Amino acid sequence: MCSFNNPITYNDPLGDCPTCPQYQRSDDTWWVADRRTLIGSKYAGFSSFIDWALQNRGVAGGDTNPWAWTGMSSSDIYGTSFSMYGVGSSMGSITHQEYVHAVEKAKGPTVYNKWCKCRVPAIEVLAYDETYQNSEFRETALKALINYYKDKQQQTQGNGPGDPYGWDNFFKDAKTGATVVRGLTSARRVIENVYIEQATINNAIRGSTAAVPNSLRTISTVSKVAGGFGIAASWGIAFNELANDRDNTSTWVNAGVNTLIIGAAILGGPITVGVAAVAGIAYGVSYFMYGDEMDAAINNTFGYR
Amino acid sequence: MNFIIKAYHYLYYCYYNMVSNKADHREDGASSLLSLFDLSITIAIYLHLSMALGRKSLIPTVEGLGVFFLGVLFVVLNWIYFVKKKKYIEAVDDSKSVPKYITVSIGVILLILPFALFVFSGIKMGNYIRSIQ
Repeated sequence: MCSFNNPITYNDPLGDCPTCPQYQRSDDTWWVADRRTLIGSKYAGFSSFIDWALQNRGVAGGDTNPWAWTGMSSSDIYGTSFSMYGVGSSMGSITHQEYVHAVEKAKGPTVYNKWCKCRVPAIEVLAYDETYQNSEFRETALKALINYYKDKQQQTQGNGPGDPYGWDNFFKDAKTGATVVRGLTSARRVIENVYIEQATINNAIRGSTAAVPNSLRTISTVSKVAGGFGIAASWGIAFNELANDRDNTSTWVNAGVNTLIIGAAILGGPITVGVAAVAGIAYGVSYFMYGDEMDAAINNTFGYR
Repeated sequence: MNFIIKAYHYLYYCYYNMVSNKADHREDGASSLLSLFDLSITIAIYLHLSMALGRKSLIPTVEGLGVFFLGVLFVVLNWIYFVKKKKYIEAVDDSKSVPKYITVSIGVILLILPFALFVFSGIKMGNYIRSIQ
């Protein structure tokens, strides 16, 4: 068989094959898909990755078509769609490098190959590692595939992109809670200030100079502690994205904007506190409505991965 | 030990001077900012240790929540220490002989440093994980 290169040594598994670099996309992909195995891995209870995928499909269903695991459309197998990833044209074969390039363009699951110092599609490693028994590399590829599959599944189910454990929602709720507390305390502070002014005038009319009792101290403390709490939550989101291998420029921009808004509220005087509270709520609402689009715009322009 | 406490008080004083005079209760604000400093240093050390020990991935549930709760813990502990126990008076007294422009300058750096450290360590760890996968 003259197949594409082994991603472990980057040679053909049946010997070097410099003269046959063409990737027979349909045949080889299905050959790869049929050969995947989970034996010896922590997912060994399943006979194959497709078995795992079928049993974890969930309500909305993830795609059990191996082509979907490359990040590309399953129609790519038959048609000319490779050209949309900047490689190939018509029905002709493409080189393995072009295939890898297409997978990367499609943001499919890839893993780093320390031998070739390049990234290769995870599905290939799973297939070839069966022969080469590099269990560590296979585990990495499996993890990438499973995470990718879970991400796709969660996107389908509307739980947000790539948060297999669902902690994003927890952190976002915590951040929203802190923002609401800061907003409410700011409003309360304005009301209390008006009350103090009026009460002071009333006292003056009565000839009294007694200080008007107020709860500004408590309000200020709650607001500033809620600020620290809110920053911890926004950093928690960033760390969660890092831990789930989803970090990109938008991760740090979001953490930065939240830190900036809350920091201004902590640092500034009464006017800054009010402005920061409104900005925080405005940014929170915008992010709630257009968060994915905002992240995509940032990452497409300034993304580092 | 005494030196560490003095140094910590000095850090607090730098933040204290950063918070606007017009802001109510600067001690609360400085305490929150100091908590962020503590959190960012802890995260940076943790991530760099993880890289030095050759870890291959992070554990989202444990570590994501850990960062959050650690942040909240720092906020609460600093608030109890400086505000509730009124140690901020001691911290301000300890350092008030230092010219204000020096503390404000250090405060500005300390304001940027935590976030820069957090982002730098995060990107470095992300690249490290991707490079070994």
